[in-house]
Amino acid sequence: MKGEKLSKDMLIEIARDMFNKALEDFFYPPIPEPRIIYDPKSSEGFYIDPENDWKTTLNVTLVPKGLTLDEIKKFLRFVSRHEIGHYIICPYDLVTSILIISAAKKVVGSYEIAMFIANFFADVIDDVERNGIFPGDPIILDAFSTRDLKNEYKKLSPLIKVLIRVKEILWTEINLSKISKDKRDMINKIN
Amino acid sequence: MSSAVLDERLLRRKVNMIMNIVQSNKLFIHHELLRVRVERRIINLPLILTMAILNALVPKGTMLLYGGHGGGKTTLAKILGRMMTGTPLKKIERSILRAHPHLTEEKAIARFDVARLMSGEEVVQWSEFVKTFWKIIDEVNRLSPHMQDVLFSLLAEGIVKYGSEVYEVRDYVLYATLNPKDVGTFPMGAPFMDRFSIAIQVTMPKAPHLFDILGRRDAKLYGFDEDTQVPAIMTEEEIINIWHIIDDTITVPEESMFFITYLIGSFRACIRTNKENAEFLNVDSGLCDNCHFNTRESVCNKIKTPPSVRAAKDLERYSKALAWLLGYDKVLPNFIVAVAPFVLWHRLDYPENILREKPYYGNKILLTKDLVQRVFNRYARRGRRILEIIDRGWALKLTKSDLDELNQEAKADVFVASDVQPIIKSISEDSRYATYYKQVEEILNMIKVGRFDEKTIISKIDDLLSKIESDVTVTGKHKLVRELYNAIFSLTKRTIKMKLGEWREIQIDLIKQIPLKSLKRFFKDIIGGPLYRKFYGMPEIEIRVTIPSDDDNAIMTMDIAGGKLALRVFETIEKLRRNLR
Repeated sequence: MKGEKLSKDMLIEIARDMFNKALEDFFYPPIPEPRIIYDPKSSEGFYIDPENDWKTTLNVTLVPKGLTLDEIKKFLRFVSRHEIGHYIICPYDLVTSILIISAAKKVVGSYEIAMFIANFFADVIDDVERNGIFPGDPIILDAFSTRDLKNEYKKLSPLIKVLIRVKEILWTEINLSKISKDKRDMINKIN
Repeated sequence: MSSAVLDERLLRRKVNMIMNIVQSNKLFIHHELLRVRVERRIINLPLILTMAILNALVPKGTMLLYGGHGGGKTTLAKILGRMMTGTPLKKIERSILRAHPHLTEEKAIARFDVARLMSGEEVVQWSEFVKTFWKIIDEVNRLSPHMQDVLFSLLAEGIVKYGSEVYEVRDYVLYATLNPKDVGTFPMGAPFMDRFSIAIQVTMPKAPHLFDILGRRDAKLYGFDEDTQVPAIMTEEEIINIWHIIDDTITVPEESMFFITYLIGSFRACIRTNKENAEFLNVDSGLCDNCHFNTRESVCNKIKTPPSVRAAKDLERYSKALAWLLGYDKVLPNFIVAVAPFVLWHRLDYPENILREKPYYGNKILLTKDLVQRVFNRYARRGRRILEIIDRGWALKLTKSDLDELNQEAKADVFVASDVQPIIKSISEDSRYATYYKQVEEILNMIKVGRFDEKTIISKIDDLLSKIESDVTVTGKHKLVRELYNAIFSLTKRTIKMKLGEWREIQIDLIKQIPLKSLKRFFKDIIGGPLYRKFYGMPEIEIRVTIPSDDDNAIMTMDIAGGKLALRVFETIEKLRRNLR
């Protein structure tokens, strides 16, 4: 059934379950329980914080609307895998994280922009590598596309649009051979 | 039902009876429980009492009872000694080594016989403590470093030296009490602590139990009644018999063995250094900075001094004793989980900031329990699969997906990253291992299908063994050698049953005809006696002797297994027996 309406508690419970399943998918890495919030007003989304013991935050209000229960579960499992992927794949450890940021800073000069770029770079590597481990996994772009890109792409800020485009290019270059036709079509549509 | 089984049940019943008497006579009152999960139920045992009993069920068991004054530590050791060995309390009391900073070797270990020394003769008189089976050291941390060294050799090698004489302490059970640091105590070094197999904290009883203590008869006035309150239930011989029963009958299945390996491995693992040799850098001084595995959930970043091989062995020994006590014939991983905190906590050193944290508040046992549980949770989820991959690695049967999984696992599990992955990699890259493995596999297959002539295959195994053993660079040599020894031992296992009188007649001739010095000594030392058991173990030969009494008509059982040497021993004994007839 489309457009499953779930209570806040149920959504949090599902997120917890799916995070645990994602942990299992990665053979239980030693990272802490996630912080799961339901806060529509918060600017927080889905992220992992390497400097805070790799604590993951999942703001479940960002789960796309109009999904079936199975799709919600799939989405939350994939988002959890994506975040855990930062611990397992990229940046992997704090040293690598700093190396990526400093490499970016050498090019762009500003630390803030370098951080932004480093995050995006880690996302791409994480997505590409994870796609190799779990071939059925959608790339993070799909998550955006489900909610934002299909209906609200025009509302996004120019910076986000640019970064999404950069991400697509990087992702395409790294993983061209793995791209499905659907995804290629989607990228073309966004272009 | 065989008498051996009945004996075993009777012995277990006696041990349980001792536990019941201690509780019902309120000899030692305590509230903490040892929880052992077995299948779907939890068995609750009185923690301190059970651990103290287990210590007696393990050969040369050494236990530390840690706690403040007046918790009943020494009393517990004394009353158990009385009930488990039948020794009068006064005699136990006489043999207690009461430690203090000025205790000398002469007071603790031995002295020269003064009268004979006057006539120039050096005759050593060993102390009661050295000679007694049930050893108690009171307040061990009041021993000076020098006396700790003296006792160290007793605990480490089972020998004590005085003058030019050496006393071999063959069988014993040792309990040492340890008080919190004060003005009269000395620090105890890690190697000394490591010699204590288990340690327990004896805390003051909770209020309801204290109420019970207040109500009981004043032991200071009456002492203990040795007939009713602390009756003699068992003997030293029976304890030694239990040691052998446990050794003979309790198995440690591969998954439990792997859990011990996994547990100790996870406590030792580090992808950066060997922590046991890390003098300058440790987990609390920068070793873990920016490491992938440096997370709150990890175990490796909380262990400063990793446990020794001895700790692994103690885990096996005490888990086997627990299995026997509970009436099981094998060690389940949960038995290991139950005893592990008490085998490990006193040997480990944790960073102070971790130890101070909630909910530990300085309680090392609590932190150790938590870490053991973390490792067990991971083992329960992934252990079997990791073991499967290791086995496939040794058998050179790893697929690409196995390898991918292993690589993935190495990013989540420091034990896999530091201990498993590098070995699997080196095996798969060593062509000599592959060549030898093929030859081992061929022999094993021949044995499996039963198409072999015993003598030919034994000499084939012997040849291959000497080839592998002389090849110093081959990876996984121990694995190949173990496979071959297992094969040869199962092939050549023979049992000889004869009357003790018959043995006594052939004993001297056998000793003359046997080549190995240590083997000669072994055969020479077989004397028989109630519940007599003796074991000889070398890589190439194992002999186990059981004799129920010292009567000439007692049936002596001798199990022999091994390679050519075992066959030779077997054939020589049979020939000598034929000659007798």
